[in-house]
Amino acid sequence: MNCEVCELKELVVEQFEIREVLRCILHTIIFHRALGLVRPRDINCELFELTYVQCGVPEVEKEIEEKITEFISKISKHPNRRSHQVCLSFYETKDKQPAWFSSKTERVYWERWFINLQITNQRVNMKPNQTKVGFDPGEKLSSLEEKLHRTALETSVRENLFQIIKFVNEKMDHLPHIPPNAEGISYPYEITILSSSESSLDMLKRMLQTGHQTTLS
Amino acid sequence: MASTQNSETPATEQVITEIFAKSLHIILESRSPYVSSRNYSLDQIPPSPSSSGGSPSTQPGGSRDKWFNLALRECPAALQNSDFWRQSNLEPLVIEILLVDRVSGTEKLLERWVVQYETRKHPGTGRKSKRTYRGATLLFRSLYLLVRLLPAYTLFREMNSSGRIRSLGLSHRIQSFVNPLTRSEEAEMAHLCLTPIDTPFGRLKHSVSYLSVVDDISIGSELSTPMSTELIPDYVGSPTTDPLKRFQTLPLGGSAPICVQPGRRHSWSTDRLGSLNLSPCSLPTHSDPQRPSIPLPLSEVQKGKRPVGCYPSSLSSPQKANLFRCESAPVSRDSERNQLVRFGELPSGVSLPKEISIGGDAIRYLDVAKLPLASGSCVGGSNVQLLDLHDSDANYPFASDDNRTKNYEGERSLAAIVGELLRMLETAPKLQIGFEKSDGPDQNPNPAHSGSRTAANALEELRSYMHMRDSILSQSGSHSLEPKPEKESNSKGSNSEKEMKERNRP
Repeated sequence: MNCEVCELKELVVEQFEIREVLRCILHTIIFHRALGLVRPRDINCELFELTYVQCGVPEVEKEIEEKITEFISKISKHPNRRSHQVCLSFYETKDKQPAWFSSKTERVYWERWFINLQITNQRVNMKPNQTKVGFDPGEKLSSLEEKLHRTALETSVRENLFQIIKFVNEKMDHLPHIPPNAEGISYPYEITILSSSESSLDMLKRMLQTGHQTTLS
Repeated sequence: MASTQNSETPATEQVITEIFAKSLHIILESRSPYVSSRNYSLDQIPPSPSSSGGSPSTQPGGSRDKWFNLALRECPAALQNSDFWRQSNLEPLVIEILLVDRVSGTEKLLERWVVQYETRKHPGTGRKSKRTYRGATLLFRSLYLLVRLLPAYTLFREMNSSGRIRSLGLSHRIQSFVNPLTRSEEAEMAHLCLTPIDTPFGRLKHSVSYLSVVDDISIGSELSTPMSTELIPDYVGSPTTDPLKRFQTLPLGGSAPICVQPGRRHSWSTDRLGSLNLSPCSLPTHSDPQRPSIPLPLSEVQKGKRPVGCYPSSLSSPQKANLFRCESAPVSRDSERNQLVRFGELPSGVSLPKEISIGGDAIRYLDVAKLPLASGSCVGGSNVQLLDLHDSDANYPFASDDNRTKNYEGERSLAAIVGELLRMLETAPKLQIGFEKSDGPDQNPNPAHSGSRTAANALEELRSYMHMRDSILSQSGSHSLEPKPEKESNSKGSNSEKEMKERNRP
C-alpha cells in the first residue's frame, strides 16, 4: 500500500487568521475521507466569502479545535519562526509480531497531508477590526494592504480546496477497504504539529528510523 | 429502471441510476433558492443515521438521501425532475443554472453541469459494482464541496439569505441533450471535470462549465451594475431633490406621514424601465403618469393597485386626503378607495386595534377620534396601502380651508401650510377625554360654545372649593391671609370670566 503525500500550497496568514484557515482545510480533508454515512454541515467562513463542509461528527470538530489551539500556543512560543506545518495523517492499525518492550500493533500510514503556513507579524498584537483614533496617512495604506492580503489569502485557501478535490479524485487506489456499516469517520487519523525546523521529509526519515515503515505495493 | 446498452448488471444499473439522482440532488440543492431544503428547519433532519451502504431506497419511505453515505435533506426541485432522465441512462443529464431577469425575462447561463454515461469499447475491463459504488461515494464528497466553491453559490446564498423578492433570480433547466455554447460563452466560461466513475461496462463522467466571474454580470444591454448595493443620489428626501415636490401633497388636516423620516436613505429604484440595477433593493414599481416618480420602499407591489408606499403622492384633487393604513387592518379591501377610514372612527361593528404589528414593525393608532394620525415605522418590508378619502365633510379639527392657502396657480406654498397649521393649533378646542364618550366628528358643531361651558363649569367649581376652604378656615379660627387669597382668586375668576365672554363674542 502506498503512502500518498499531498503538500498543499503555502498560505500566508496572520495570527488571528490561523484558526479559521486551519478549520477550513482540516475539515475539508476529513470530509473527503469520512466515507461512512455522514450528514454534511455547511460552514460559512467568518473571514472569507467561502463555504466549506464539515462531516458533522462532533468528536472530529472537538479534536480539530484542540489541535488548532495547541498549534497556536506552540507558534506563539516561537515568534521568530515563520514557517509552520500541520500534518494530517490517515493510517491503519495492523498487528505485528509481539516483541519485548514493543507494542503489538503498529500504525501504517497510507496518506498524509501537509498544510504549510507562513505566519506574518504585521499586526500580531492588533485585533482584526481595531481602528486607530485620528487620521493617519499610513492608515489608508495599511487598510489597503489588509484588503489585498485578505483577498490573496482567500484565493489561496480556495486554491488549497481545489487542490484537495483534485488530489482525492486522482488517487483512490491506495484507500483501504471501507468497513461495512461505517458511520462518520471510516479511517483513523491523527493531526500532528511539526516544528518549523522539521520538514516533511525529515518527518518521513524519522518514521523510517523508528520503525513505522510503510509497505510499498 | 433505466437500462444501458451494454447490459450492465441490475445492481450496477441501480447504482448508475442513483448516481444520476444524487448528482441532480446535490446540484439543485445549492442552486434553487426558496425551494431548497436548506431553508427548512434542522428539526426535519432525522435524528440518527441508519445503517449505511446498501439500498436506502428499500427503506421505509423510499428515501434515497443516504445513498453513497451522504445523507441529504429532501430537495423538492430535485424530486420534481427526478423522472425526467430516467428513461435511459444513456442520455446525458444536463443541468443548466440560469440567472433570470424577472422583469425583462432574459436569461444568462451561469453553469452547465453534464452527467453522462459512456460505454466502454472493451467491455469487461471495468470495475465491479462495489467499486463503482465506492468511486461514486468519493466523487460525491468532491461534488458536494465543488458546488459550494463555484461563484454561483454566492448568488444562491445571497438570494436565500434575504427574503425580498428581487428582480434577478436563479433558475434551472434540465435537458437530455447538450446545446453547444456560443463563442462568447465559451470565452468567458471555465471548465472542470471530475474523475470518471468506472463501471463494469462503461463509466460516468461529471463535468461543469461555469461563469468564472459573476461580479459584473449583465443581462442584455439593460443591466450594467454589479450585484453590490449602490446609492441612489436623487432619492426623495435628499437635499438635492426639490423639497416642494416632497410636500406638495400633504393631506388635509396636516396628517403628515410620520413614518417618513427625513434624511433617511432608501435604495429602491425609481425607474422600472431602462437601466435596471442589480441592487438587492431594486423593486418593480407601477408607473402612473399622474404621479411623480416616487421611490417605493416596499418589497412587494400589489398588482392592479395604486403604488404603495409611505410617501404622499401628488393628487389631482386637493380635497382628497391620504391616509396610510396597515394592510392587516380590518377594513374591507373592496371599498378602500371610497370608504372613509379614519383612525378612531370606524364603520359600525368594526373595531380598530390599538396596535397592529406588521412583519415585526408595530404601528400604533391613537385612540383619539379626531386625529387621523399614524405613527411608527412603516418601511422595511411592511405592507402599507395608500388610501384616498373622499369624505370632504369630515369635521377634522385641524382641517383647513384650502381656498385660503391656495395661490393663483392653485398650489399651496410651504409657508402657507405651516401658517395654517399654526393657526389651527392656536384655535383648536380642547380634546375630549375618553373616546367612548365622544360622539364622532359630527358632534359639537360649535367648538367655541362647548369651550365656554367647560370654562364656566370650572369657574363655578373653583368658587365652590374656595367657599369650602373659607368655611373650614373660619371654623379653625385662622385669620391670616384670608382676605388676600379671596381677593386674588376672585379677581382671577372675574378675569377668566371676562376672557371667556370676550371669546364668545362673534
